[in-house]
Amino acid sequence: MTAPSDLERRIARHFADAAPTREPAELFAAVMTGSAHVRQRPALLALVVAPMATRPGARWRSGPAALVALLLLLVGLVGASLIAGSRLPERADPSVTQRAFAMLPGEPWILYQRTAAAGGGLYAMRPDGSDEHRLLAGIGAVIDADWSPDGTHLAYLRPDGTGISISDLDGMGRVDLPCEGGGCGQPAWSPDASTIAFTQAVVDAQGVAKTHISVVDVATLDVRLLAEMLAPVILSGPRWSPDGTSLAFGADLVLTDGRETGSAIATIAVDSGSVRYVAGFETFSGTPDWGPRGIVFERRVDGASRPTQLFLMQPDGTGARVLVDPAAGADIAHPTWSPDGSSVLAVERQTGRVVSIDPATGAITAIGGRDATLARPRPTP
Amino acid sequence: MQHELVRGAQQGDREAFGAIVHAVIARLYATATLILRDSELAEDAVQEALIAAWRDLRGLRDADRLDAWLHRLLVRACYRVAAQNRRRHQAEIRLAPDHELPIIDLHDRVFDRDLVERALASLVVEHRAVLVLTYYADLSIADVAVALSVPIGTAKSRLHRATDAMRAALDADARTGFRATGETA
Repeated sequence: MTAPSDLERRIARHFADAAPTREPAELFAAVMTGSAHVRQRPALLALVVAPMATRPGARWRSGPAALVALLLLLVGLVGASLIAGSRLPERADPSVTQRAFAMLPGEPWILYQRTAAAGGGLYAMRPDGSDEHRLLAGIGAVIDADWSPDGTHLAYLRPDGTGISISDLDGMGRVDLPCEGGGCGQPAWSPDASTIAFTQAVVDAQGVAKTHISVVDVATLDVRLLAEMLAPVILSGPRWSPDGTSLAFGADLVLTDGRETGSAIATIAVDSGSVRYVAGFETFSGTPDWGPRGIVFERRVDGASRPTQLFLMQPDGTGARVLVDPAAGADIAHPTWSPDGSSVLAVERQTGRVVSIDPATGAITAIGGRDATLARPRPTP
Repeated sequence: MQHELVRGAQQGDREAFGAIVHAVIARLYATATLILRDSELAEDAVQEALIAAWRDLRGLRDADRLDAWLHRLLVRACYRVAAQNRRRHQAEIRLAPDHELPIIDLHDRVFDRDLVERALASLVVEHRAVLVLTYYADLSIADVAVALSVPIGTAKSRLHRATDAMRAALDADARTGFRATGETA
């Protein structure tokens, strides 16, 4: 029979041995972003963002008033300039051949979008930069465009910003996808063509701002919510895994006064909704694209808005390495894999040119185009 | 300092609340892990407790009772999380690295830890909670009562019953021969 005092000592000693010891900062991240219940995690994010914000090395972006900043950020990559651009009249570009090109299925093309200042518009060119021409004549400055897997259709945010449409390359046969409450954007077509993932920024009846990542069945137009985050977390840029079972996306921590205190990359399994953070908020990582050789993404150096490093990592977050370092003089953003993983397309910020990057060496080769916005260039699948 | 932080947080100062969270989160997490015996569920419970803390902090009248009050929120969250996951039995306790223990003591301590762990696993969550609050969180019996939302007398009797249950579990373990097997291994 064990004496009570001895038992108490054994219990206390057991607890002391068995109690986990974790650093508060690491625990913050785990509690905030653990994989168990993504819908519940953001609420705590909202609470504990303050100590993260004071972390040395984190730089804040001073921003406009709360509501304006939040609304702007809620639309993610649909920045103010793009929205403005969608309302500008289209201008003819004398440097671009105006004749219509026959874009045959299976041909490789690169899609990119021009800035509002350059008149906006969606352009296509061959992988060597030739045959550049404007797509979707008469539809305005479309944004966030993505190819269908067979290269015959496009999904894009409508010029009035009210939702996502899909259409032929010439804008014919347009179908508007459901977007109850508005705020939809950043469509990403699944590899099997059955589904389009997208983001949605909403403010509910209680005034709570949220972002969603949802998928819509292209045949039935049924929408399924995959992930929901409360402000100050902003979800952005879902991109499919090559096998179509998961999505990678960005998550930005942004206070309502516009200060950004971190940005992370997560993956979500489309069937189960299981979320895994593969790059923490403290890494200021974003705009992931998932290709056959892993996830390519941006990382803002020291949390500043520019310049950015391009990184590669495995889908589980391991094996991260620098692909392009701004210290070498390049300021490259918005990476996208080529379908076979042989190159990474991106935008050179200073010139607005589309460039190709060798994923093995990081060597950069200019392709063409100009005034490309900070929306991803898209190669045909 | 704690009074200022609590006052600030009660007035909606997120940085003040963040500082409080920073100071307590590791301990709350360890407590929740010991009660629930599962690190993911513990994270859920800690999150739920901290959300409740932010929501209800204005109702805390005495800043000196912050620790007991936070443990009350945590225990409630643990009960809720445990109820939602009754079928999830697999224990997951992170043990301290063995190399931190004196070599001469290693076998006995590891073996004893295993015995105690099995006994704790056999307890209902309410009994584990009172033991953890008393012998790990080191709360006074008055604060244990606050954390459990029960009168002091009830807290004492619950601690007594939990200790009895532990003793019974350890005795039953000894009767089944676990100890002999372990010692000869």
